[in-house]
Amino acid sequence: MPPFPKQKQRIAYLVFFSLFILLITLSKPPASFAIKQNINTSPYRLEGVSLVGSTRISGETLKTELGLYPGTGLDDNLVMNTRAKLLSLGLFKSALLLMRKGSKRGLAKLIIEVEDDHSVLTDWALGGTLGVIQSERQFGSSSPDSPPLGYRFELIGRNFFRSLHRGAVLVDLDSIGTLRKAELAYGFPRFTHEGTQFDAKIEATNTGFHYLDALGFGLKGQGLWSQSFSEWTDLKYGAAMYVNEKKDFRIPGFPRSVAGPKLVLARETRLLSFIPRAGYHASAGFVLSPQKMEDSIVELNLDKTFSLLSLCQLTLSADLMGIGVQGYSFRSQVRFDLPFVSRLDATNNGEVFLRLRGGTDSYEETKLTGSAAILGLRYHSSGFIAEFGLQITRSPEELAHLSVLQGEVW
Amino acid sequence: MLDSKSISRFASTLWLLISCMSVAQGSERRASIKWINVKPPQRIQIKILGLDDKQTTTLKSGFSTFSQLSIYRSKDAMSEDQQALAQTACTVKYDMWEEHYEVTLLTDTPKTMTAKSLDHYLTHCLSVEIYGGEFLKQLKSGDKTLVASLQVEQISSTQAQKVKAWLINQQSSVMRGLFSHMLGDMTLSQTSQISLQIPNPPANP
Repeated sequence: MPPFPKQKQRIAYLVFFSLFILLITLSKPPASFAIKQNINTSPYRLEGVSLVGSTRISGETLKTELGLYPGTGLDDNLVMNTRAKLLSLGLFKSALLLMRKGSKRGLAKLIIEVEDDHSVLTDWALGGTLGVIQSERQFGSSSPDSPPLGYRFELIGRNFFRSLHRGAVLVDLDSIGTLRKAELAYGFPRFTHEGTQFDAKIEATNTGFHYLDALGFGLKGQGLWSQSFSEWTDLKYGAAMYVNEKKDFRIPGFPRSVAGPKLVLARETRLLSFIPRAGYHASAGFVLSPQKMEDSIVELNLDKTFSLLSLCQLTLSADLMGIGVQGYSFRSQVRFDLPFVSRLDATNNGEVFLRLRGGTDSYEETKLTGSAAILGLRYHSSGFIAEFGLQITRSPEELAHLSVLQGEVW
Repeated sequence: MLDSKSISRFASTLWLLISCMSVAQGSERRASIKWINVKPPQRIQIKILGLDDKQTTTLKSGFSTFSQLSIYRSKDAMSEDQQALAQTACTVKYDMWEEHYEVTLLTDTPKTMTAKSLDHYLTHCLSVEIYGGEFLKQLKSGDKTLVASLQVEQISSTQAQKVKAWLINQQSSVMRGLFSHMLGDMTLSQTSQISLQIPNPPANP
């Protein structure tokens, strides 16, 4: 992929921003059904609460988190809010609220009947991915003798310590233990109906192996609060630090670090599940670099998923990071997902996927280009995804000589 | 003496009686189907005879529930979200002290009524009529099955969409991967399907 000249880079910014604004302006939430539900108020007041069907959360925690105190009005709004809160935890497959006669007329006992979602395991709601990727021998690797077999382990939990703490850890290794990629993420426990949540994430990408996963920087850390201000749109704010410091985990020639406050406007209409659902994701972010203003970062991302004849899903993705006006990092992807079961709404436990990826980086004198194609198989069972893939990678040659270049670049 | 016209009329009447008593096959007697008119315009009445345990529990939860019956030509038509041949919907609230159902039929001009029994609720809320004219061709071609989609929910489809929006907001935060592959398994809306075997229409006397 040929690098852009600077004037073209500005045009690319404008096109991305225009597309982003257009998507947000023109897109409507999915048409809701025409039938409206009448909201009725209830003459009943809460006398007691009991939780049935799960040990993933204690009755006391539930009462506190849901604000269910004696005397609370048991109306339909309570049902809507409580069900939404419970289901959005991702712990339960279904939630039903039942009222039973209280000790006297006007009082009622509330029974919350939930069904555990067994696609996550244990009370901690654990799940993950076990992946094996066989790569064609790469010339871009900083460890050219490294074996081509890669292993990926990911563990996630939505209810650590049965207290709604969320977290994820990902490790990508080759068969002699070289770290290719690592991620650590954590989320505060809180119900999402409040509209604000906090998540923090640190990721390290070995650019020799996963050049296309590293958008501009090999090490990234950020902590963001998310505030929903419309049905589909989030405003995120917090701090971010992007670093190109450590050997193997950097894009050569790019700024060593950019750190500062970060602001993101994001819109997502897809429910992420094992098979991607139709819809789009668009986001625009800005990281202000107080130390070196000219290195402030603009991040733009567009993903669009289509259903093709109800047989497979096609996802087109583009990510652009602009570092001031001096440089940029661009990644694109075309992804096909072909489920084993032809109907996309049916329960799908397996799929065949094909990903075609491309990327280019440019900063001052540095120009890098890479591409990859991955054909694979994914299978989902008991909370874990097994993934097998065959990969052909063309990483930038410059990354193979990182250690040699290091002295010159810095 | 019986002439051929009388025999034909008798046969038609007998057929109509048999048809009226016929019950949907393969649906575990969960729906009844009968032709209403002998003469055009003929129409079919489909009535749900009972709910499963979970639906009954939901209905008697004491909170407002949403019931909807939709009839489709086939399973594919339903999954492709095609327009239903007939549809009826209502909200129901069970009064646990009075032991009756407060029903609001969700028509263009919503009607409110009290159903004193489950059967009364089924008759008013989960019963539809389809004019047979359009079906006659389908029935003559030998395709005599329809599919009923029955939803008894504590929240309506509209509310389920809102829950879905919350979930999407949650997963779209920093940790997208944290929720990536599991939310699709959640039951936002539970719908049961009933296969309906349409009896032959009564012969026109």
